[in-house]
Amino acid sequence: MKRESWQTFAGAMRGFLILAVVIADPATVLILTSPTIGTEEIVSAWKRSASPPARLFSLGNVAILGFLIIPMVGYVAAFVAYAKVRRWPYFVMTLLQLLIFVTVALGVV
Amino acid sequence: MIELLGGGAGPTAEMYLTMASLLVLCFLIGTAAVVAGVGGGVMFVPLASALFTIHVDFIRGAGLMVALVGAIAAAPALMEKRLSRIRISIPLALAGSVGSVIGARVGLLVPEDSIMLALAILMLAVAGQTAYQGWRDHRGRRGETRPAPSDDAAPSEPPGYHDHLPTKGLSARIVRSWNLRGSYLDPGTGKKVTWQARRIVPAMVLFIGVGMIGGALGVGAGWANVPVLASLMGLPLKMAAATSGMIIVANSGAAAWVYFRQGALDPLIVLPAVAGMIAGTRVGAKLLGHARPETVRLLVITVLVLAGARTLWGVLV
Repeated sequence: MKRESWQTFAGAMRGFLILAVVIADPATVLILTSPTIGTEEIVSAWKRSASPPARLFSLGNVAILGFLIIPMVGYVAAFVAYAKVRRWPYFVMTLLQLLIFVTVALGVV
Repeated sequence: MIELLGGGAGPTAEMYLTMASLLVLCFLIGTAAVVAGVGGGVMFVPLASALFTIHVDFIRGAGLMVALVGAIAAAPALMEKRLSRIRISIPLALAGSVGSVIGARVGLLVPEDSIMLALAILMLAVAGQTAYQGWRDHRGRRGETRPAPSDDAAPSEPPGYHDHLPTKGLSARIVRSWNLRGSYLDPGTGKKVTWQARRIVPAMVLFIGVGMIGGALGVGAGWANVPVLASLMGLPLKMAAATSGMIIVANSGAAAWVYFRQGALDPLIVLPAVAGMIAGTRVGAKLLGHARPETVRLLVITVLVLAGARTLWGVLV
């Protein structure tokens, strides 16, 4: 794996783990989001955060959120692309689709 | 969650056993579904509802995630081969998403018995559809009927074929305005296949209904998407199947948010289901050349009929 790819992957995994710890133990949010925090501190916070099933539960929730966000990211990319090429019908439809995603994600409908 | 699985406080062996059973069930469904040519999601929800004591809301939530993750995993390869077209899927997915959100909201409100009844009917209908497809394939191989329309038919279209397509009406105007036509290289035959969408307006209306069923029952609804895309809109079969995946991503994604907000997406059910299904479909794809599709299809039909009859019996008696 190239160095840049590895750094991106490691960064994503670190973010994933931080999110999982925060879901398992919301009180850790202020400590964990500090930019100077090291990986060892994140892992020890993860070990302290909850019982094994609760940790599994929080990791699973992060994974589910990730899968739910993928279509939204795809539609944001499509929305930007259609805006650039000025395909207005598709621009409007992707905008409407994004509105549906956002409203259901926020629990408006 | 622990209460849901019937355990007490703290981790229980029953919880882990249920997760392992879901993983195995989904692995088997994924393997059989690929060989038999049936959607995995449509088998998962009815079978898991029939076999586990987990509340059907959680099963339906997991079913939507199974459909969503499966479609996301397949999308890049299909888009690269130009089989799956975004410009076809966007209007249909928009209509389907409206339906799927309404369906998910309604599905979470109606009594469990009504959902189980609908699932039983769906199971028997999919068993019937699979049996019909198997019978048609069998007759096609024996040369008793004309072969089913395939992508190979398109290159032999006479010059000016598209001139005979409807030029008046709202659907025709939309097709022209949105440029819903094109071509792709069939990876199986190496031939160029041309296509043009038709009847986009009735298809969008139908997709609202298909989305409602998918959202309410927690299935991807590829069994309904493909006939609408192929038969009603006139798209080549392979392209219809690939585009159906893109529509499932949007529809299941929107409906799954509703289940997530209602607390019906439980990771301890979703993760084993998704992992088992993905592993199963990979194994099923490798078995395609070795297993006898007729035998697997018969097995799938038998399981669907038995599970459907059992569910129907449980609701009505």
